[in-house]
Amino acid sequence: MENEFVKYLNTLHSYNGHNSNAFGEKNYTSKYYDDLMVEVPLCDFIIKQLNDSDPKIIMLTGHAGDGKTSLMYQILKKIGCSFDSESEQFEAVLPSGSKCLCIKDFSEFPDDKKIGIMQKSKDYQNSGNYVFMVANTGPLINSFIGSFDEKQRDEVEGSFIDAMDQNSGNTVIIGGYKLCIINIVKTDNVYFAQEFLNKVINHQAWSQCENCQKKKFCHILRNRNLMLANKDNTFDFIKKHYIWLQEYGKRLTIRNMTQQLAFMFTGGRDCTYMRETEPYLFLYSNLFFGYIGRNIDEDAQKIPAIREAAACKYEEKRLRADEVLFLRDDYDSVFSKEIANIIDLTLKMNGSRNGFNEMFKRMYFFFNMCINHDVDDEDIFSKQFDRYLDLKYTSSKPGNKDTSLIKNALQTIYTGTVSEKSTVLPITLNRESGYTQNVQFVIDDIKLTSIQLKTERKKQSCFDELVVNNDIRIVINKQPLRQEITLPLFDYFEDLKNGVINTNIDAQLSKGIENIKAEILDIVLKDESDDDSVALIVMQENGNYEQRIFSIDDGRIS
Amino acid sequence: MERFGNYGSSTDSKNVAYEIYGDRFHTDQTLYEYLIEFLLIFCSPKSDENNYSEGRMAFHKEGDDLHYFAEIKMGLKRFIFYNASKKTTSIPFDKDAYNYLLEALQKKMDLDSIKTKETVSYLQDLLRGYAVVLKKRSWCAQQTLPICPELIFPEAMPNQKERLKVVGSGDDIKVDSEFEFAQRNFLARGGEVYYLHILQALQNMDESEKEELEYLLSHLLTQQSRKLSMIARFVQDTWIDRLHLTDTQTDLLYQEYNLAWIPADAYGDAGKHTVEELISFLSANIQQINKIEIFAQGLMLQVLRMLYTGACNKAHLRQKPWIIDMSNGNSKNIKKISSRSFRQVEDDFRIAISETVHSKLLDEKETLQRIKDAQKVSLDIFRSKGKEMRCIIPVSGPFERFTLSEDVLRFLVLAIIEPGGKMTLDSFMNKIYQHFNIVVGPKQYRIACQNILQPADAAEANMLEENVKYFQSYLNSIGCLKELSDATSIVMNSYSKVERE
Repeated sequence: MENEFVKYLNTLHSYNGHNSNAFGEKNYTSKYYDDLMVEVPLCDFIIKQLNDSDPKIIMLTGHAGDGKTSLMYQILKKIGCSFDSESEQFEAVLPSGSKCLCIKDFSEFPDDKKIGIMQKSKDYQNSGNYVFMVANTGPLINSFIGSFDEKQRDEVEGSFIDAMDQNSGNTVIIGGYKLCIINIVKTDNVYFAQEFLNKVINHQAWSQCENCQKKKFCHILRNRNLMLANKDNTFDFIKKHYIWLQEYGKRLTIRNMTQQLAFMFTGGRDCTYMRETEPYLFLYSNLFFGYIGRNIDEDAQKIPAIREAAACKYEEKRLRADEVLFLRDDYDSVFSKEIANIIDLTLKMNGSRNGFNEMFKRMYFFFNMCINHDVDDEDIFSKQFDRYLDLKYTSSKPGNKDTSLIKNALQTIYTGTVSEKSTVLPITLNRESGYTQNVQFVIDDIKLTSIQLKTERKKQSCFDELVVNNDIRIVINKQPLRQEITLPLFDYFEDLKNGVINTNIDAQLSKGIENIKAEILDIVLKDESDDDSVALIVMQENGNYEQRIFSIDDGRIS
Repeated sequence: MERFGNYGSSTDSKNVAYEIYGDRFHTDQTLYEYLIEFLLIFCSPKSDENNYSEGRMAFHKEGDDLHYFAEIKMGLKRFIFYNASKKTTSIPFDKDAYNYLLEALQKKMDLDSIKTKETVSYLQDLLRGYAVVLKKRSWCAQQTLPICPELIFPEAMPNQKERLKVVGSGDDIKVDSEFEFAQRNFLARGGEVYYLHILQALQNMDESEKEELEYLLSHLLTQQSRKLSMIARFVQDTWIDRLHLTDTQTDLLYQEYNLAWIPADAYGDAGKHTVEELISFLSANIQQINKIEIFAQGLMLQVLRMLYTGACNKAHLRQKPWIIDMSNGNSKNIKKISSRSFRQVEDDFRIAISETVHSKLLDEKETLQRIKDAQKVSLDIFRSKGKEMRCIIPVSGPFERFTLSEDVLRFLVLAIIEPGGKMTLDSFMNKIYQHFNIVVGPKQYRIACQNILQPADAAEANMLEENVKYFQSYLNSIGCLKELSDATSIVMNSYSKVERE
């Protein structure tokens, strides 16, 4: 007996080359679509825009696969308008009675028609109606700018991309038209995984499996049951993994996540395939990373999110839990009985541990019962990861430890060392391109006590008022710097503290540091005193520095 | 021929390159010395009246005599470079002068004896840390990064034979004034041609733009390094005190230079671009030394544009695109396209030179020699400086072609986009084509083909799609690119703007 729901899950990923439902627009007709639909927080924000008696063009843009069309579907459904999946554009009547031109995917119009459609949208708005448009970013920018006179284009382009980059949710007037531009890429989508998985594992369709003859060895059902039993740990790990990727510049789209999460139940197999295999092979802890047992599955690696997960190589990191896992072989204290049995069986059947340690670690990420998140997160992700999450996603305020991490890092960046005695941060004017200057000129210094760390709610938080999402910034003399402190910067600061000199730092990271330095320089120069004192830093042989201050007055140095 | 600038006699009027570009570009001028010479003219007094107080930190005004008076500052230069340089070419008076200066400096310090000696040595280490043109030159011909007006020196050549005859002792003003300051071997007028190019453009622009550029250049040289100026001034003034000059001798502290000329129609619209790019670039609040290092590269890129524009204008040629290869050797196709583009640009230089020489109706031997001489100070400079900046690769070997180095690309971003500004990648590529003829992708390639009246090759245009990807990733790697979404990126200048006080 074939479970249609399992079949549906297999259409959501591209493992077998047929992912008919992976594309939102083809998915709406499935009977399971509404069951698994995760409500997007942005939904309420856009509904508010459509109901605010301020007609405008709402432009929803983002990566392909970010769920833009699905979002339009959700919104129209919620406000009681029908979604015409057959037409590229259609008119809806909003609850207020206003008309709204809905353009399902602007990018799909032929190039020669795009400017015309854009002009139609502008006219629509001019006549006091709403426009709700979904579009990929490139065509949206080109067509909007292209619909203006040559003379206006530079100015319109500047304002348009600025609004898109700011993504504040505010209505702006550009070229005389009221626009609300929402770039979905810049909104948080990590929430999706947990809600989607919850809907999958709690779906009523699993009840059919109770009568199936293969249920004892069916890995799909086993994965579903294991996830029910290990829900908290599994969801926590997946959420943190997605945040980690996002912070390190590898944000996944909703489509990417859906593919990976659907695949982690089935491994691309369906009910007809099901046969008795060793239970460890298709555990979702393996499938999530594109492994079958201890072997990599090359076809699974074609799924982008799986490839990214495998590339993190978490299982190669040294964990403090390694001792319990591999020296003491104390699986009972770490895992549930069911998982411990699978491990026992695996070791017995295979005779050796060869290649299994990494697999056991993958199991540990999802099934570990003696939860010690702080320690594990430090080992799996980074030392500052949990603290960063606290500052970013909770109301926790930066403390002395956080501030001292920043102060030490800045001292190292400017002087190459941390001086315990110094009460100031000298801002030096030195050459950076590999040229060591033993004596450095100090433009001015900043009192260490005036350096702080601060969190404030992100501008984009208007899209989801219930979720805390903060920007973390350095504050100097009560002035917050524009450069946000990202996780890579936190991790870099931690490395500096530990004396790890990484010569191959990521470009965005070095740009972040450069921005911080440029902003600090601004502050220093604005506050620079007019006195005649000159400060130098003299590097010592022991790696420390000595500061020399003298004044030049009336042709004499004193 | 109409000229812009003085009508002074050329140092080598036989060279037709001068007719094309003005007087003059010279092979021995190093990359930094273009910037140093330009800034030297900008910050020097433009008159010897009122104790050399007029025209500092400013461009010449319309109607001014095109000359300037550079302070020679040999005491300061000796303090920075003398002890760390080879002594084989120095004369004993310099050693005395150096020691007298150290002694005089120590006397001006109200510190204990250990700290006094240390402080002198620290000041020396500090200033020497900014050295930039050392090579194997004598101490007097070396240069520092031009980070404040006091650390911008005119050229000084040893002139050993003459000095030995006339210098009396180490604390005689002649120990400083008898160097050869006007040979123009290193500050060889390249920075001066660039200065005239800007001056010419400013004449057709609003006064406000001139004021803004003057403010920004002055800001560059003073804002972060005000106290460094104090240190340098302290050293030089201590030396001047020690010289006990009479009133009539103070003029010996300055050297007068006359600006030469450039052809009035050599550079067309490039001057306006040069000024606008400089204003945008200098408006960004960046650490001063980084800014100067990038400025040196950017200025040179603008000089390369002048060289090519001058050649094309002389021969009435449409400017060919500089198709850059951003694939880092990974694409043979892009390499071939870019290499052909480089050869076309080289050909235009040759055509301009050859036509100009042939118009003189000289005999064959003379014609060949003149062509060779002119190429040496135009095309060869274009090629060698392009290679030094890593904008023309490889350094040796076949398939010479255009590319962009990190600093030059950074300059382009800051020169095209104002601080805090952003534009789509596509607009940025259009702008660098409009300003510099630089072609990255198929769209600019097609426009360029139209502009030079050549049919665009569809296959070549397609191959350049890949080039855009490499270019995009390079911009990303230097932190100037931001992904908006859906393969759409914006190029941004994330620095804040210098605020006028």
